[in-house]
Amino acid sequence: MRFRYKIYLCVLVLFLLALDASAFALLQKSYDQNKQMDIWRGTIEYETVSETLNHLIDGTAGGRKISDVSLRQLIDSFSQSLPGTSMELYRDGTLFFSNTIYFEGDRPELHSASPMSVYRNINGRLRLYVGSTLTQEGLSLSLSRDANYLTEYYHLLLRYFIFLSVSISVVLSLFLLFFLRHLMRPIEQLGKAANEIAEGDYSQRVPVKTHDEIGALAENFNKMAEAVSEQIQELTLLNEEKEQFIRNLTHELKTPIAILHGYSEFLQNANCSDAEKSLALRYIQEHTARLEQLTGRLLELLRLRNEALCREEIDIPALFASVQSLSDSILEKKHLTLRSETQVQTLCGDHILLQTALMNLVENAAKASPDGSEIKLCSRKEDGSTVLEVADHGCGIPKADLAHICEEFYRVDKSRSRASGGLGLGLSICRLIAQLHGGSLEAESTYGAGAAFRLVLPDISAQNG
Amino acid sequence: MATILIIEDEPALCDLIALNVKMVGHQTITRPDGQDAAEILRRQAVDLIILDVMLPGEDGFALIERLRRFDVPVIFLTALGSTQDKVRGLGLGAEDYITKPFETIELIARINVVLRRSGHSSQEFCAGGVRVLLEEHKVYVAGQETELTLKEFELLEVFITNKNIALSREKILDLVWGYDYVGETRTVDVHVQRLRKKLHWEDHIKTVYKYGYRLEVSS
Repeated sequence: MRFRYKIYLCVLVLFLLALDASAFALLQKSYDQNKQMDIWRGTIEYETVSETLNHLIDGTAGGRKISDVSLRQLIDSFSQSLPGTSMELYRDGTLFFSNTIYFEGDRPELHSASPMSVYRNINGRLRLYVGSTLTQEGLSLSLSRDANYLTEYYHLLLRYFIFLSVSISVVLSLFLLFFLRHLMRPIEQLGKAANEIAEGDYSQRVPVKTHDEIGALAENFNKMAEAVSEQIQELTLLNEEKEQFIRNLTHELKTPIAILHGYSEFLQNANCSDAEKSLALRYIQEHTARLEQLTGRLLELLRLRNEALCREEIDIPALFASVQSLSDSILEKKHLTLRSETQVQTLCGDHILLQTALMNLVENAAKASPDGSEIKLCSRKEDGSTVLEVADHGCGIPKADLAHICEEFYRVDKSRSRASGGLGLGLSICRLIAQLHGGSLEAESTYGAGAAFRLVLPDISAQNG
Repeated sequence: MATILIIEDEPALCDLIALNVKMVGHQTITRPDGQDAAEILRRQAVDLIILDVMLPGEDGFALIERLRRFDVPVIFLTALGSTQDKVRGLGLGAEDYITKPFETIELIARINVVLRRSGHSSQEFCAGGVRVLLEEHKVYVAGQETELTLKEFELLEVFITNKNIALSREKILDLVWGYDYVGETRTVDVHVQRLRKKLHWEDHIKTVYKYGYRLEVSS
């Protein structure tokens, strides 16, 4: 059963029970009170009558036993002066006078010295009997009056109450239903939003309208939905990146393989000229070398991801010198000069990895630079980190590509970089090396004027591992 | 003989495809990107475009959309064999799709299928005094009609389709008789002998030592 109907039924039943119980108690109390009033009135009337009668009997009899005749005269005239009230006079146990219905039964009030009241049901109507003995020996008086109005009154109220109860219930029902529906709406909204999120629409949110628990719940729900949405976005992005990497890798591997396969097949099957033959062989050799280079780089990337860093104190001028000598051949080809500037002398890091990174950067710089220009290698301190920078005056990187250059296989100008043997992996390797040191790779460039690449390495004390 | 435009940014692959295509007798135009493709299609009649989807700058899929109005059939070339890409390419109007690495014969076969579909394949073949009408299945040797059995004609078709390309015995067996045929490659030799004799093509169907046969004709 729906929650709001549960509440509705509970409230309604409880209310009705409470209402009915208290009404019943009230009615009962009212009835009792009325009865008390009735008895009181009846008793006062009786007292007045019995006293008067006692006086009259005394007056007439003068202290002696009054005669039946005199008594009858007295009673007759007396009874007429009491409209609405009936009288019964008993003399020595037998009925002497009565202007009311006779009935059989116990009459305890006739033997009581003080006025005693009894209610009796006579012919379906309630009657109050008040009676006692009189001062004169052997005489008992009983006054009775119709008290049915009490019962009628009770029933009237009861009927009225039932009518009232039903009306209130109907009104309450309607009100409750409406009110509960209004209260429940935010919960329903919450349920619906949760369902939509479960089905994949992570943008769903609920309105926060109140400052109570429901409002708080709505706010928390929104926070949770936001967190989930963000997480999903991140994961999707990550997944897309991975997919793109694999796509690129597949292309980079399959292309040289297709070339090797194609040309070897060509040499086997085709009726070709010597010129074509040598062209085929040249391509085969070129792309075998390319595949070798590619797998080498990929293994390097893999190794970097799985190996631990070997930190030691490095002498920067020595590091730069080794980079210079290793880059000699590349630099010589284009008559480039490498200038070192060391503002910082020492650094804590992995010598071989940093050397590899710097070599990559110098190689890139060399490829981009025009003949005869200069490449600067420098080290300096910046905000608690040591920065190793390679700057050139080459062709630079367009702004649109700057954000992507560290991505695997990304090349700004494919045809050119392919001609110079570029695979697009160098910078991602440099970036990984920087990250392994707890730092980052920064790139800055003005298209047409040059570029600068920085390994930003935070300072940590020299400890292995 | 058809004119085929090859757009492929990797020069080795571009040359490879061009060489193979030229071998079977078509003309080629090669480009490393699609920049002036529209210009070329406007200037001259091109019968088929072979296009690499991973091009620098403009994406291959985008290029196909751009060249659609010229109504020239396109075969996509790519390293990615994912169903998604295949569906996308074919959905954009490509006639066929071939993944790298590919076998030369497969490439040639697909090219021929596309050319035939677009009505650009020649129905006639002439070489060494022999005239073959491919659709009518008629062969004329020195003007005289010659009867060939069904298998002999199919063998001839395979040679013509892959002219100047050496075909292994196994390959010929597969192309003409299909994998289901559990026979020896002797069948191939026998049929080649018969074909040579009937067409007087002893000098044209060359034996490739330890490998198979090749139909040599000048383009």
